[in-house]
Parts: sequence; C-alpha cells; structure tokens
Amino acid sequence: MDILIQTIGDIINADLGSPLAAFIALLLVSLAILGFMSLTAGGLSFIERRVAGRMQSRIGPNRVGPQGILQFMADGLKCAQKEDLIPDGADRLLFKLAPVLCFIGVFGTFAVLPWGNGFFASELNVGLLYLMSVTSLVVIGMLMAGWSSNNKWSLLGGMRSAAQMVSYEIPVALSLLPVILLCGSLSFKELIGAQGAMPWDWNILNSPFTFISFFIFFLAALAEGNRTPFDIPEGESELVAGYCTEYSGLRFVFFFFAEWANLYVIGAVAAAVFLGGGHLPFGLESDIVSLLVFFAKSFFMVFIIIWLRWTLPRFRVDQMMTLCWKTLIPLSFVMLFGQAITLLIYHELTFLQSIVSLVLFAICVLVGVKFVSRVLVNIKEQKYKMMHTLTGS
Amino acid sequence: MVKEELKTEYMTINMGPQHPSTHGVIRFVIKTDGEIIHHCEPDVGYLHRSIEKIAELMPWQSFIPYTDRVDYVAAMNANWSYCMAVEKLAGIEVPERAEYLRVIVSELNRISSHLVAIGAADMDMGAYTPFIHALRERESINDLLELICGARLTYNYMSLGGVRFDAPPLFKEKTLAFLDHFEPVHEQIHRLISDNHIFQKRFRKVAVVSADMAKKYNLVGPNLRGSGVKFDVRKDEPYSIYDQLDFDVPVGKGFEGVVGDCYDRYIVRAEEIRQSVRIIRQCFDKMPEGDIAAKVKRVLKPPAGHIYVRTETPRGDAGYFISCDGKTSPERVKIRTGSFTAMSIIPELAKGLFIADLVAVIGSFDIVAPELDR
Amino acid sequence: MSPIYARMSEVVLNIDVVLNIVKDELGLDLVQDESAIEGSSLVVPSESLLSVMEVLRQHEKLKFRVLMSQTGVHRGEDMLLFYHLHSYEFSHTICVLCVVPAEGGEVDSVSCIWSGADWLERETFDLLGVHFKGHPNLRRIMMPEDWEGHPLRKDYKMPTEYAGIDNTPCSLEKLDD
Repeated sequence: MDILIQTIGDIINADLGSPLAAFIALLLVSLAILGFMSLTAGGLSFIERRVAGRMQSRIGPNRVGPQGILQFMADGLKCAQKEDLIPDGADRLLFKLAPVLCFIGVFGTFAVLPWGNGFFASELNVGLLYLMSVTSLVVIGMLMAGWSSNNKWSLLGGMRSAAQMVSYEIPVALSLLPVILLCGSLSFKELIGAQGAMPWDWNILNSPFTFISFFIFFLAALAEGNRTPFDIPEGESELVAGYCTEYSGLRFVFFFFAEWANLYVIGAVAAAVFLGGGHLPFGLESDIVSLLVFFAKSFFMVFIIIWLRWTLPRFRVDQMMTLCWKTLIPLSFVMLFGQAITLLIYHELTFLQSIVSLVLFAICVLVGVKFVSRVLVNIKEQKYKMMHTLTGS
Repeated sequence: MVKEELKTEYMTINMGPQHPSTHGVIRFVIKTDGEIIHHCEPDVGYLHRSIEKIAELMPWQSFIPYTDRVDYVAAMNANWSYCMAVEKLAGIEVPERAEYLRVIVSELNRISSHLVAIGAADMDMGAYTPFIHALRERESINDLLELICGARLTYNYMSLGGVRFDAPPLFKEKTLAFLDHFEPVHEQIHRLISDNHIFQKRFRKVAVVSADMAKKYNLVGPNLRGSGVKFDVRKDEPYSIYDQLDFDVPVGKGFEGVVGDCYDRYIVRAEEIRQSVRIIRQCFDKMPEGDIAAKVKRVLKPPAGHIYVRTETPRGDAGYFISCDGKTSPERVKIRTGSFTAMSIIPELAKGLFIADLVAVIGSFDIVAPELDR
Repeated sequence: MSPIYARMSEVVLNIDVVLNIVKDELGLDLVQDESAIEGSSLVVPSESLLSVMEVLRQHEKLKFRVLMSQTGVHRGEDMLLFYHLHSYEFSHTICVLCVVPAEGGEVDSVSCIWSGADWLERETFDLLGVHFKGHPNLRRIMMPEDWEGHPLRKDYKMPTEYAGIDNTPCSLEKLDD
C-alpha cells in the first residue's frame, strides 16, 4: 500500500513532459478518486442503515454479501434497471443537468481533500477556498432539480435548499476563518502541518474561540449537507421527498451518491482543519498510518452525524434561518475577533497557549468521561430493569 | 416616477391523498404564500365506505365486525361503543366479569393507539427512532390481544351482552409482565423525544386552541383535555365499572400551564398511557369469576326509540346514535367520532401556519382517516 | 336495565326545567319527546329551532356550549333531525328533535351558534338531503361533488354506474361471461 501511494505520488509530482502523459496521469488519479468516492458513498449508505437499525432495535440490511455489506451494490444495480422517468412539462435540459451538477459539486471537493498527511490529489494553495466554492454548485443543482421537475413540492424543496445552503455557507466560511488566521494558510497541507500529534496541539484546542468555531462549523456543515436536524429541503413528512421527488433510476442515485459522499467530505474537513489531520505521536507516523488515522477521525465524525440523524427531529424552516442569521453568524464573527486578539496575546505570552490548550483538553476529557459513565450506568439500569421484569415477579 | 404594481397570487398546493404525513387518505387543498398557509381546505371522504348504510341492512349482532373498521387503530373501543348502545337499547345486562374483560382489552388498545399517535407525531417531526420504539411496544400489545381473541387488528371481540372469549390461562401473567416491562420503556421514549429541544420548538405555541374554541368546535378526548377542559366520559359520566377504578384525568401541561398547543395535546396522550396502565393493574386485582356473556336472543328486537351513547375512545368520546323502529335491524346508526370534529377545526387553525406546522397539527390531533370518513 | 347503567341517570337533566325556561324566554309550548330511551329529549318545530337553540346555549341555567352530534333519520314522509347538546359546566345533556318533511325539507343552520355544526350539517346534507338555510358552505363532504341522490335515505336507489365504473350488483351470469 505504501508503495502504491508512493508510486501515484511520484506520477503526479513527476515532471510530466508531454501533455498526453499528464492527461493520462490525471485521468488515472480522478478514476481512482471516483472509485474511492463510490465506495465511500456506498459504504456509508450501508453503515448508516446498519447503525440506524441498531438504534431502532432492528437489524438492517443483512442479506447481500457478508453481513449485507454489498447491499449498496444491489441497490445501485436495481436503480440502474429502473425506468428513467421525466415528467410531462418538465424542463428536460435542466432536469437532466441537475443531478450531474450536484454530483460534480461534491466530486470536485475530493480534488483537494487530504489523504493522510503527505498526500494530496492536487495541492492547491487555496484549498479551503476552492472547497467552499465548488460545493456551491450543489445549490444550483438542487434549485434546478426543484424548478425543472414541474412539481410544486419539488419547487418548495428547491427554494428551501437554496435559502438554506446559501445562508449556511456563511457560517461555514466564517467558522473556518479563525483557524486560517491561526495557521496563516488556506492550503490543507499547511493546515495539517501546523498541528501536532497530541490533542492539545490540535487547532480545535488552541483557544476557546477555535473550540466554539468547531461546533459552529459542524452545525453549519450539517445544514449544508442536508442532514437532520436540517434535512428541511427533503423533509419526507413535509415535502414528500423535496427537490428529488420526481427523479427515478440513476438520476436519483446521483443525488444520494452526492449526499453520502458529502458526509465524508464534512468528516474529512473537520478532521483535517480542526482535529489534527493524520498525525500520530511517538514517531509512529508513516504515510499509510497517517492515512488510517485520518480515516478514523473522519469516520468518527461521520458516525456522529449519523447518530444525530437518527435521534433528532427536524427544525422548521424559519427556525433554521433564525438559527443561522441570528445565532451562528454573529457568534462566528465574535469567534473570529476573539481569535485575532488571542493570537496577539499568545504572541506576547507564549506559555499561555499551552496552558489554555491543556485546560481545554482536561475539560474535554472530563466531559467525555462523565458522558460515557452516565451512558454505562443507564444501560446497566435498563438491563437490570428489563431482566428483572421479564424473568418474573 | 411610475410605480409598477407587481401581480402576485397564492400558490395552490395539493397535499394528499397520497402524502406521507396525512395519516391515511386525506387531502388538503392549500393556498400558500411561499411557505405560509393562507387557506386550507380539507377534502375528506376518500375512505367513505358507508358503514352507516351497511348497518341498516343487517341484524344487530352482525354489525359488530364493521365497527372494527370504523377505527382500526383502536377497534376494541369502537366495538364497545356500539355494543353498549345496543345493550342499553335492548336492556341487556352485562355480567361483571365481562365488564372487567372489556375494560382490560380497551385500555390495552388505548395504550397501543396512543403509542401510534405519539410515534406518528414524532415521525412527522422527522424523528424516526421513537416511532419504531413505540411500534415495537405496540407489537407486544397486539400479541396479548391476539392471545385473548385471535386477531391482531380487527378484533370482533365483544358481543352483545358480554365478550366472546374468556381470558386464556397466562393472560393475566403475561399482561402484568408486559406492563412491568413497558413502564420504564415508556419513560425512555418520553425522555428521548418529549424533552427534546427541537421537538418542543416545533410543537409548543403552535396551533393554539383555547378552551372556548375547543368547545365551540366540539373537540373531544385528549384534544379537548389538551386545551385544559378536564372532561373524560369515563370519569364524568362513568359507564361500565370505571367508577370503581382509581385513575386521573390528565390535562395538557406544558411548562407554562395549559396553553392548548400541539405539545399539550401530545403530552396528554403520553400521560394517559400511564393512567391506562394503572387501570389495567386494578382490573386484574378486582376481576371476579363468573359468566362472560349474558344470554341474548338470536333475533334481537329492541323496543322502538332512539339513544345516544358516548364512550371514551383514544380519539375522544365516540358518540353512537342509534334509532330503532322495533325491527331486527337498526333504522339508523350515526357514528360521531373524534377525528371528524378535530378535522373540522383545521381550516381555522391552519391560517398563517407554515406547511411544516400543518403536519404537526395533523399529528397532534391524531386523526385516523377511516374513523373520519366511516 | 343493568344497575351499572342506572347510575348514569344522575346526570340526566329534568326536562320540565328546560320546557319552562323556553316558555319564559320565548313563549313557546314545547313537548317532550317520548321516544328517547335514555336522557331527556324535546321536540322543537323547525321554524323556531334557531331561537330555541340560542336559548339553550345562552341561558345561565343550561349553558349548552357544545353540539355533540347532529344527524337525521329518514322515516316515511318525515325527516327527523336530532341535535345532541352537552354542557361541560353542569355536565348535563339534552337531545333536541326537529321534524321536517323528507322531500325538500329545510331548516335553519345552527352553525352560527356552534362552529362545529358546520361539518355535521354538511354530512347530514350529503347523506340525507336536508337543506340547511344560512349554512356558510353547504357542499357534499363524503360523496363526490357530482354524486346523485343521498345514500342514507330510505328511498335511495344504488346507481348502476358512476363515472364509467359499472356498479350493478354481481350476479352469477355476469361472472360466467
């Protein structure tokens, strides 16, 4: 594996003389990324369904392949065989274009996403900026889908998603700014490089302001990814299926492909920008290990998103906008300002940073321990009660 | 400068009859200004099977299975309402053990019906997990009812003058074991969803029905009690053995007293589940031995006259009006159900709400389409 | 009647009180309806229905603030309209019977007194063909708008066809085809 990565890295970074060779190399890389993206999206759909099943005291898909792991392939095949319906009165061109745009918007982000610490598909020095701009394509795709379907529920869904995603792009960008300020760069490589291996060296624990920024980023990214509690554009119980009501077959798959791949993107950005990328302490770090650590962090974030989805109800559309404009955006401005001042103070008193980070780390550990112990106690009590009641008395 | 007037118009949206959250086949024609509802016109009748007409064509006993279909979420209660009306009409005396059995199965059915109501309200808000948990518990209740009458949804358990089958062996033990298991689980479901901040934001201060308005529109049952009117047919006009049982009538109590909003109606149902559990436990303690059904003539000919009987079903008091002209079949049966009146208040409530709120309103009123259309 | 049911008569209203109140307020001599098996019931002529209902709702000794049910029975030439009223303040109920002719029967709508009467009267109109004067929205509610006839009338004939769908009763000959 190490060698493979090394080879691909060599190919990309090599001085490619002829344009043809460059084209082939880039094609290979994008194909590899496409493969990875498909696997991630499919795998996540499987993981999500199994996790949901676990939470709802049922099993979830378990028939196709070992433990049902190939279920997503069966689903994809099934959808591919479905008739490709285009409703009467639909704007045919836009209707066909919309899922592709959604897909491109998410696929484009994979160009700059890091793979571990040292390896990038393309190392842009404005990586974060590029990522945020290319995701905006998704909005246009959804709005197109809603408009062109000639269905009022779709239209409502499209309008909702436009309002939601345009609004929430602002807190996403603003909450990333403190970190950019801290690291002085927009490139993922330097963002990861500026962080250390131990948790208190991560950006999230740099100061209270980055700490809160992380949560703002997480909430706003949830909203950008149309996940519960912000799954308003496609809220099943209100808008049937929102913007993708009229889609069937492979076009429908494209939308959901994009959605699940987006899950991974959220996790990966959070891991790279806030959670220290793929660093590992005690000199254990190598390319492959950092890749695994990075994946672990990303998928942990993804798991939390899935967990939230199957626990929380959804916001109403006006409450969602209120949360964005009246809470998250002002708060993220405060965080930006606070971080700027903190940086000045840290510049004068260098020892202060490590103290603050350590204190924050201690608080996190305490909260985590408290949470886990409470959960354990709860589970124990429930089990005892159930055993007690089912066995007799 | 010429001021140009932009022409705007309301968007007419058709919600239903195939919509995920209309709880059956109901259609709303909504005129909206963007997301805000300007006018809402319910269109019912998709499930009208003319059950009242069918009643006029058959003997008194044969209509009982049809009452199951009036409200299939709580069929026991619908059975009971009709049986009680005919028993009063014909002067049939019901043995005491049969009354206890009737109360037990009805209260079990009430729990399962409220579980569906609570779960469906959660699902309308986008929370799936509580819905599945509620349905899981409902399965156990279905098992218990299957044990006693052999059916899981449309029971046809009650007969004129009593019930069809006595409780089988182990029914008591299994029911009590279920209740012991259910009480903590109910707390769990409650804690998972009712105290959730987002859920409360969606339900509180939405579609407020004042006590006066509730009376004007004749809301019944939990919907009425959600508005703060403490009236329960079981308590205020006790029928059967309810006056020998000890239970409370919960009224909607959010965190600011009685408001009459969606959350109050929701919380009343959750509280009623607890009271039903209490009632069932008491019934098992007090249940006497004896007959389970009175002797009733094959061909029943009640005296001419009319009667209006109310019983407390999960969706409020179901009024059965029966007019009899002394023949072997009813002259007229009119079933006035809770969903019907709850539906008639929606056009007034819906004005100015969001589309998402309309879903919450339907969920909080616990409207069951077959009961609405009959 | 079973001793259990006998207890319910405690909440039954004394009909004479109601009759006297109506006489004092409106000068009308109403009669009791003897056909009610349980509870009190009175007969009101259709032309004074609205004023009697207003008294029943407003009078401080009665306060019937709720119209529980409204329905009708088609019996021969007559259409019997039943109104069941309830008062949460005093917890008593009363049944009001109003007789109108079955053909072209008309009666004042009470939906101006109880908003809940709106839908109940629409249902009675739809299924029994009684016309309610002054009803804000008297349309069919259960049956389709273009349905002919009123199904719960005793002289109702099942249509053999609706919107191109054959509805003749199934017979063996038809099955053989």
